[in-house]
Amino acid sequence: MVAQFASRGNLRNRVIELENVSTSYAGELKPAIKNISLEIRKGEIVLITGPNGAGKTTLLETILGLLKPYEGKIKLLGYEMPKDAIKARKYCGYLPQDFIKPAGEPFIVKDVVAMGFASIGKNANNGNILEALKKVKAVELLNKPIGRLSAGQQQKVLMARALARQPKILFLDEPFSSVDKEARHEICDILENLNRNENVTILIVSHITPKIEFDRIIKMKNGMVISC
Amino acid sequence: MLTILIRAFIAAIFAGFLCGLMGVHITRLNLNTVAFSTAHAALAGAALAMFLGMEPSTIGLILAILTALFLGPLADLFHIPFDLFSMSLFSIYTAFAFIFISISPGGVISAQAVSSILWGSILTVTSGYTVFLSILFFLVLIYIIAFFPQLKSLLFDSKLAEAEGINVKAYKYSLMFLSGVTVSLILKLVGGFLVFSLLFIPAASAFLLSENIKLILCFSAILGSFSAVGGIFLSLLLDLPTGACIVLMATFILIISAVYAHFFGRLRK
Repeated sequence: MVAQFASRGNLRNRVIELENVSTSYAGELKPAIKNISLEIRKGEIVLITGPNGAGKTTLLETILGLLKPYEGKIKLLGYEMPKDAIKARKYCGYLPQDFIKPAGEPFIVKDVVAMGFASIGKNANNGNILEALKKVKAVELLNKPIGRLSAGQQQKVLMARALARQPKILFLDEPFSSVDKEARHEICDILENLNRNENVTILIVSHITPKIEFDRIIKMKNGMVISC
Repeated sequence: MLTILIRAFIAAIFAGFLCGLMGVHITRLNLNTVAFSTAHAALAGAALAMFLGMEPSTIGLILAILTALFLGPLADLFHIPFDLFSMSLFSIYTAFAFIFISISPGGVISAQAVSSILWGSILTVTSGYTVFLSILFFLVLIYIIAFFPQLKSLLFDSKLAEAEGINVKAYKYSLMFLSGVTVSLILKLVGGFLVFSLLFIPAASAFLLSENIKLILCFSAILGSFSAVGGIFLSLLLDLPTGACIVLMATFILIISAVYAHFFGRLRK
């Protein structure tokens, strides 16, 4: 298995490597994902798809080290996960699933985008905040309270926050679930441009297939990869 | 008498600031129960000290600090939800406090001593206590200013902060520790039953007044301080328990804040 694992692709180009990874949630005996081995190379756009409960989000969170696997090995950008998670995550952007903040949240858009810099040792200034918002076509939202924006607008702001970090890998969990068709097309364009111009690896978890030219589609069912 | 009063007012200013700052953090991070478990650890420690014939507040403080220090790591180690673990400790400490009080020699005197821990008193404020409180205040202030970008990210969404490489556990543990130490120190002034009010009511008022986290922290600290100082004035004026008067003052501010927010909205900048 290890030999097969090592034979594929250029070693230096691998940004994500999983070897026989299984994860279960605390207090549950049944694994949420079972025996998953896969690798993703630099600059790929990969879709992870499957029905509800297939284990898509669990897989994404396991790769990021937010969930601890009970068996198997994970490497993210060469870092062993979850041991070196804090180091590896500094090079990643993340958009969580169903991220909607209610009205009254005490943060404006400018603050939210600036927070993206908190862990990478870079100073947040108006210039780089505006640049990130420009990429997602949301400059006009700069001083708006996050909780007063629509779900689609909030998605864009979080996308800007992820992009502001100049990530090597972008993890997007259901980025199209709460946005209309027009916003979906806009997000697809942004992602394709980012991949084309900055060679960012993009991993998208989605139960719908957006109009993006994917390098690979990983299909999951019952916690297992059924096609890759 | 004047020296005691000056000391009490200085202590009240620091206590209010500390509670205001920590209150916003623990409320946003759903760590409210840390206040309950550490306050009752101090109570159990004081009761134990009385049973052993030792100085109550020192033992109480040590047990409360140990609780604040190990609460988070132990909950994680045993995979127990933090709130559940914290509230279990709260019950255990309360049980021990009652047991130690009931078996202490000279039970009535012990109960009187315990009542000062339960209700607070400005007469217990010494110079050393005020210095200790001011040191804690400056430590908390430096901590918040130095790590504000990371704390802000945590206060917005801790899962997202964690996914972006912020050491969420380290920040949560340190906030729990600072909150625990704050609560256990302020017990002397406000008392074990009412310390929670000084922690949460100014924070609630601040959340009503603003939509900007920086302003919320400032308002909460100032309103906490104002409640503590005003409460002591009220207590002296009406000859009522200090802790209860501080809570009444904080509640009065909360009502004014709610009325202001209703008519004028919340400040954004």
